[in-house]
Amino acid sequence: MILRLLFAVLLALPAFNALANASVDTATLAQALADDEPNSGRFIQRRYLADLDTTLESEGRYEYQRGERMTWRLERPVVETLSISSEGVERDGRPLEGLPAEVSRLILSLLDGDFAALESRFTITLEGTTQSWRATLIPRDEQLRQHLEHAELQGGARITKLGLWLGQGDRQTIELTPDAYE
Amino acid sequence: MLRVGAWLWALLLLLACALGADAFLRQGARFDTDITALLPQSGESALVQHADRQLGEAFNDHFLLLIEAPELAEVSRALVDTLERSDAVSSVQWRRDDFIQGDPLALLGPSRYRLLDPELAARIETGDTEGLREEARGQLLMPFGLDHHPLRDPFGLLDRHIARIAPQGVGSDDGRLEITDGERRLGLVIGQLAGAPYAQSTQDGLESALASFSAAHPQARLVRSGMIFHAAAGAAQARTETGLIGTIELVSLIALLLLVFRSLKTLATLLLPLAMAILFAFSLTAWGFGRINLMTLAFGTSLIGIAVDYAIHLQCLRAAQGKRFVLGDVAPGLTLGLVCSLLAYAAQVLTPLPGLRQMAVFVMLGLAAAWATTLLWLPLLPAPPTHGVERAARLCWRLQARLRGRLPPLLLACAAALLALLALLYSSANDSLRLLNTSPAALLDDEREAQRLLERDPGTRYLLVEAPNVEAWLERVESITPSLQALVDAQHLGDFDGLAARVPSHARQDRDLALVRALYTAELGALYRDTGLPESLVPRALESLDDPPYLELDAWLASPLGTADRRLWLESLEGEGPRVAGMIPLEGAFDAQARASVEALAASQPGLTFVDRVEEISAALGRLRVEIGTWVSLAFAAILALMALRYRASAWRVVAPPLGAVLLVLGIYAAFGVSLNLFHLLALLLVLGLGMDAGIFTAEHPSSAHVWLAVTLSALANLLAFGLLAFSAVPVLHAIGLTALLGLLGVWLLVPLVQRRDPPPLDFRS
Repeated sequence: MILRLLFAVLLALPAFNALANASVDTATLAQALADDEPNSGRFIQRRYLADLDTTLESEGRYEYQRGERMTWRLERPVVETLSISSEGVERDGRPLEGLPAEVSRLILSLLDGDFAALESRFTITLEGTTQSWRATLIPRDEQLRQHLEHAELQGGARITKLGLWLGQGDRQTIELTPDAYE
Repeated sequence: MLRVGAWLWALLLLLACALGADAFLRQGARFDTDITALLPQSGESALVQHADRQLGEAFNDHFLLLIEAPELAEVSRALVDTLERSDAVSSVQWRRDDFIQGDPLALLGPSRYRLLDPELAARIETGDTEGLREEARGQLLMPFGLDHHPLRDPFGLLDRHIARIAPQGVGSDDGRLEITDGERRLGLVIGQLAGAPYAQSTQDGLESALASFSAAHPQARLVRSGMIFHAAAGAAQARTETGLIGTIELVSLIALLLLVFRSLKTLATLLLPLAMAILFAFSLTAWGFGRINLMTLAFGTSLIGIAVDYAIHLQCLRAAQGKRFVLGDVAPGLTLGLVCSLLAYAAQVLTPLPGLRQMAVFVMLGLAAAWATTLLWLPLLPAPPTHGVERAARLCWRLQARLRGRLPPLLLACAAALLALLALLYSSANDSLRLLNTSPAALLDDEREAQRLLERDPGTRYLLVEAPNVEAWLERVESITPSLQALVDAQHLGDFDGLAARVPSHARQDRDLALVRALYTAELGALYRDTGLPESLVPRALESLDDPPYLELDAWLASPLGTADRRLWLESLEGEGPRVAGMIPLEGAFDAQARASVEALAASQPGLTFVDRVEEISAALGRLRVEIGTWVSLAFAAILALMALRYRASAWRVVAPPLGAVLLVLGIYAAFGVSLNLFHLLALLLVLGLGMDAGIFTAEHPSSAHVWLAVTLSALANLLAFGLLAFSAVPVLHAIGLTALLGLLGVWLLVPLVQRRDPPPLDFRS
């Protein structure tokens, strides 16, 4: 079940956008995130499979309504919408089996700037400046580390890149381009 | 001669005390609050007993708290701290990490192609594979499950299986256990007890821990579930009521006796047999049984009344006869009374209920001790002063004169026949286990709420499945699963827990593998195309389906994932030939339709037994009711013969008060539609005992006013005591109280009513 956190981390990333205007430490992070505006943009995700030496690429749009809902709209190569609210996750309007509501609540609380939950499960290292920073998350739980070696976030004014190192050379990256951000 | 007897009795008492002290101090005898000790243990196969024990363990040795509070995380932490500090609790589980889950990938990964849930299997069978492909696409591009690899598991079978077998809706944002009920969120804390749930020290320890928590956090609401809370409530109620009823009885007894005898010394001599009775019975019962049930003590309070009966008779006679008193006058009556009572209680010793046996032994020992003390010690002590007794006796005699012989034999016979007919035609019985339920409504509400929210069951209703081997066992469970599921779907049955849902039979795993192969053949190429993978990978993916290993039951049960399922499996069965057994608990709602279907199901197949512990205990209580009824009837026949030998034609006057009172109670209950249970019957034993004493003494001394005074005093004392029991909230004690109330009133009225109309010469002899 702990593996569901992968997904939580993945989708919680827009929250890190606020880092850009704050000094780079998690203490001020929560405060900065609390001021975060609703945002949306485009994403490209790449899944690299080491044993097949293949990359699966997909893209689409994301929208985040503060404290309510995160929408992840896949457009290519397949069309599919994931919607996360405090009740759980829906795929194309139908509840997704096997993903506990706690995960979706965790995602939303992260988006709301509650970093206590994330820090209890990961060691977080921040480096760089507020204009260009990188965060490394290492799972505290040994069992989780078997499946997720570490996660990396990069950004400036807003988060632009996320990477998950999944072991055996597999990794997942997501690039984010916020809409008309000034 | 009397002195020798007195010394011997004193020695015997000392010996009993020594044995009792030894039992408590050296052998660790203790008080037992387990009300189910009253229940029968025989009549079931060893296998069912084993299954009962294993299913009940979780409920008996653990307790569960649901907590609702504004600051849930902090308050939960505080609760856990309090519990961890308590000596009554050996361990607390409250975080997800407290349940070792092991590595599901290692255990289930290799067998995942053999594990389909019925819904998924049905979708493949009906050809809805396109929908499955659509659901799989997004996951391949961005997986969030376990090992969602394009070759190893393109359709996410492992994830689907885990989703199905994982507990739903338990878990919180910060790793605590938490459940959601609509808008409410409740923290979940599971504790393991350090001692038995019936041990008073364990109950007190947990009770005080929870009390200190509640005092510190008044805003928190706790929902409690587990045997210990019920056991503690029952014990507390028994203690309170025993104490209260005992005290009121003692105070009223003393007031009454002081009023009549007007001497503290005499009062002391009257209470002496009572004290010795309790001492003797308590010591020897503790020595013989190793423990004393609180129900024994509660019922033993009835002994107080009977024990004082002998002394009242003796002292009334001594007061009346003064220096002319000879023991020979009173000994036959007292002894006959004792023999009759012992006969009636002996019937209970023969029952298979250990608790009931203990009560009967306690009462018999106490009666014998009261008898011995009265006959051997009291005559050596100063006789009571006479004037108060005489006045009271005159008063009673005048009262009796009005009732004397008002009931001619013919009328009595008619009334008895009428009452008997009424009782025979309209009596109903109620052997519900609820009679033994002492839990307050709030606790029962808690239990229902917890069991509803957590689908937890106390393990009292289940199907026991036996088979020659594991494979046959799993197939048998799978064959009855559709019938049970139909009952759940039609809302006749709450739910059931079949182990085969987690570990299917080999036959089912083979079928599932064939379905997965069909799915791959139909959709895998298209899935790869959709997501940008080359179709040339399809043969490589299909290789995974070449004879993957089965998921085996023993591997599942041995793994951390299968921990919770171990209670459903019975290991190492003894008996003829190899065989295995396990249980399917039936949870929640269970209506008449469900019962009929499950019973029919069990009857239709060998190796399938439906066990309903609650129903079985009720049935056992019913059997006991009939059994005790029969034994007491036989005992009464013996008593009748005894009476006929001694009193000849007047024997009917001796037995009319007890027998008439019993018929009166039965008739009244039948007329008012009160259902009879085992405990009404136990109280009728008391009525019989006191009624016999009254009848015998009146027959032994027909013209003595003191006998009637003694009968009146004794009846009054017991009426006070048992009249109070009728107001008890414990159904058992209420039944005993009401019966004794009506019965003793009947005895007191019947004794004068059946005497000769012409008054015998009044004899005060003072």
